[in-house]
Amino acid sequence: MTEGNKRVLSECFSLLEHPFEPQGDPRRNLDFQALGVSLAKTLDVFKVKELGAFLVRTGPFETGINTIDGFLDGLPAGGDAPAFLIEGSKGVGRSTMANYIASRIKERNQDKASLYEITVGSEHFGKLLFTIKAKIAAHIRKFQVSDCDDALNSYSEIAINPQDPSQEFLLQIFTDLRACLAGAPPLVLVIESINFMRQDWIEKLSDALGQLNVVLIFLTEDPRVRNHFVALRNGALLKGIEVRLTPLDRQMAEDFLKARLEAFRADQTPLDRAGLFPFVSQVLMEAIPPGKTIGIKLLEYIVHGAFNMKVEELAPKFPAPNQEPNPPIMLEQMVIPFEYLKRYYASSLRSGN
Amino acid sequence: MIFAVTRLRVRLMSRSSLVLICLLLLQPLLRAASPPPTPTKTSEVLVVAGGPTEEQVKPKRFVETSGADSYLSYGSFSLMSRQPIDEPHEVVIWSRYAAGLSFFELTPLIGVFGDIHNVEDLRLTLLGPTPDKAKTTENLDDQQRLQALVDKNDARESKSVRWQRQVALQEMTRFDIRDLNGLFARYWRQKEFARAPSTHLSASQLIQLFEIPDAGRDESARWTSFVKFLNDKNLSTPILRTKILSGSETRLFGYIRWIVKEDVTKAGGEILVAANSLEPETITATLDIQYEPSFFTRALDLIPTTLITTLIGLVGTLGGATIGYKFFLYQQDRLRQMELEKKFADKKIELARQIRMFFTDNYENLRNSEDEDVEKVRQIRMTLIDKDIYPILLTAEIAKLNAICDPKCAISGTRIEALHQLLERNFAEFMV
Repeated sequence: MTEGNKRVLSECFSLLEHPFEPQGDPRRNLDFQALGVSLAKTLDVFKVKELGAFLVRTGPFETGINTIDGFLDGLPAGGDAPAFLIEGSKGVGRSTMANYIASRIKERNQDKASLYEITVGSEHFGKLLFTIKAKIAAHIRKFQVSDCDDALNSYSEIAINPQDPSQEFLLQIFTDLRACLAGAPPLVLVIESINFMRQDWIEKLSDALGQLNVVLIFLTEDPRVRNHFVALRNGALLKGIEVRLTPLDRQMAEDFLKARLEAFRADQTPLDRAGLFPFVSQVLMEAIPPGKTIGIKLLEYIVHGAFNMKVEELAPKFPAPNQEPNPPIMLEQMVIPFEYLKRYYASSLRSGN
Repeated sequence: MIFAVTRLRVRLMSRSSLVLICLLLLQPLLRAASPPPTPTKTSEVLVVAGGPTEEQVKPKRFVETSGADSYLSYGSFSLMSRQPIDEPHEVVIWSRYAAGLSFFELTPLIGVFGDIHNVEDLRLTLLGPTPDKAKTTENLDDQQRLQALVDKNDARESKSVRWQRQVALQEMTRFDIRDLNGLFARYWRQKEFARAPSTHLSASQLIQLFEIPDAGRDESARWTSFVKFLNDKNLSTPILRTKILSGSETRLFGYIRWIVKEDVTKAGGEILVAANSLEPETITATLDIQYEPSFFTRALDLIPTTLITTLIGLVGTLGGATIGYKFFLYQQDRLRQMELEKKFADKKIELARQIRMFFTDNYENLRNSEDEDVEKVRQIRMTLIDKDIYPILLTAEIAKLNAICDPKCAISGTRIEALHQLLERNFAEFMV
């Protein structure tokens, strides 16, 4: 970031950091680069608990977080590990929500837990089991769980056959692992994604892994999978809760933006540069007309890009350090116009995001 | 010996020849002494003439009919005994194939009294030579005297006399004739009418014959008056029964009939006359109706018959082809529908397990989920697609399913219920 950019952020927008790609959080004394996290990506709350402050606390996120918290707060210790299902299309914050669930699981277990994401690449259930076995093995190694080797290696890879993994052998391995993993830290597996044709896997995986202290978080775009999950839950076939994430409407988008900007505002922010500034509610209304919604990922992409354009536009007006721009920058020049949003919005549509 | 035999043969031949000659000579005498042959046909006892003189008019005021033209057909015929008779012929007149035809007597007094030249002759015929003095002192008129004689019905008197009195009294009563002078005048008028050379009836003649007052000026009005007169006096009847006595005078009868048909150009019919229950004599009564053809008919007449025939043939061919084509299309549709239904049934069997699993594993969950109605039906539709059940549905059912799932389409009742009914209609056997 150039000196001019920094001066635009602080002098024009009264921001301590770039709100969409901050290097750190001065107030919380966090160095994102050093921690290996970024607000521009999925919020890795599992890794850095303090990132929870940047979670969207509006609309479906607020409802989802409350649901998760309520469920986990009421979950008794011991017993099978719970399963979760997050329903929503891509870009609505499913990974962040899964990360939040994992962080809560970790928090409940003395900050000890493993988190792995598994992308389902085929309809072969055995291959998924084989991948899970590998993650369990990594989890065992990470936490040096004892007495698991025999069970883990009871069938050789050749016998299991990675090209066409034997479900029977793998399920038997998981059964054998119950004894050693029951008291181990939880393993959180995010399975992405479960479609309608794979919905039977939810019950199978819960049965196979629940007693291994493996917390399953299923991601799905299909509302029918959610209904199936609800039916399983209501039928006491699994223990868990489902969350539904939807795109944000304009008001929710404003709330998100306000929260993000406020997180990095200077303490002595003038009133005319607080709140949504430099975004204008009217401009956002044009970008997100009433009745329309937008995924949080796309929203962040648009406002991030538009904000950067404005910063780049104003930066040349600061020719030298500590020198006032000549002529001075007027307040209306700092406002981000609809055209900037539209440029990213249009390009996002073209790219199919 | 031979001479003796020959003489005997001559003697025998002579006797048989004599008998034969005698018979031949007596034949005319024997024929005159035998009774005449009994007649079998009416024509043998009556001379029946007339019929072809039938006329018709198209009056406008006769009857009120709803738009249809009405015609009054009329005519006359005459009867006369072929020879003088002592007892009257019983005559019955009726019609066949001619609806609405009724008869009336034009000259009821003719053919009843023989040849009467004056009132005295008539009086003598009806009241006899010596009228009852007691009755005369009571100052009765001729009608009353005649009535008394008819009421008396003296069996000693001949049937002819009794018939003559009955006819005379009937005529006097109908036309309110009190004395025999009036009756004779009426007799004479009828006689002159019967002798008239004109063979055509006209309303004016009839008005004059029956002395109908205020008959109107034109022919149509006079016919109206005459028909009204017949009806008022009960003079016309579909079956006329009368008697004929005289063999020298012609008795005239008239008939009328209504034809109320717009497009009838010819109306047939027969008048039957039977005397003494003999085989009846037939008079043809055919009516040719002349009417003003409509514009369409006239226009049609201008078109050559061959062209009309061709056009009719063409229209028939086209109509037949159209009907045939429509039926062909219907048949094709029906066959296609049957084929599709059969294919659907086959596919159901093929996917029976899958369909059954849909209803056991998915349907109830989706149907009873907490989603909104439209979301529920969309999810069920998606599942039907994923389970390959959707494509086997008939096209019409698919269209209905899509409409149920389209929020823009209005559905009576709830969408989920409409979808449930659709599934029941198609997969009821899998839903139990």
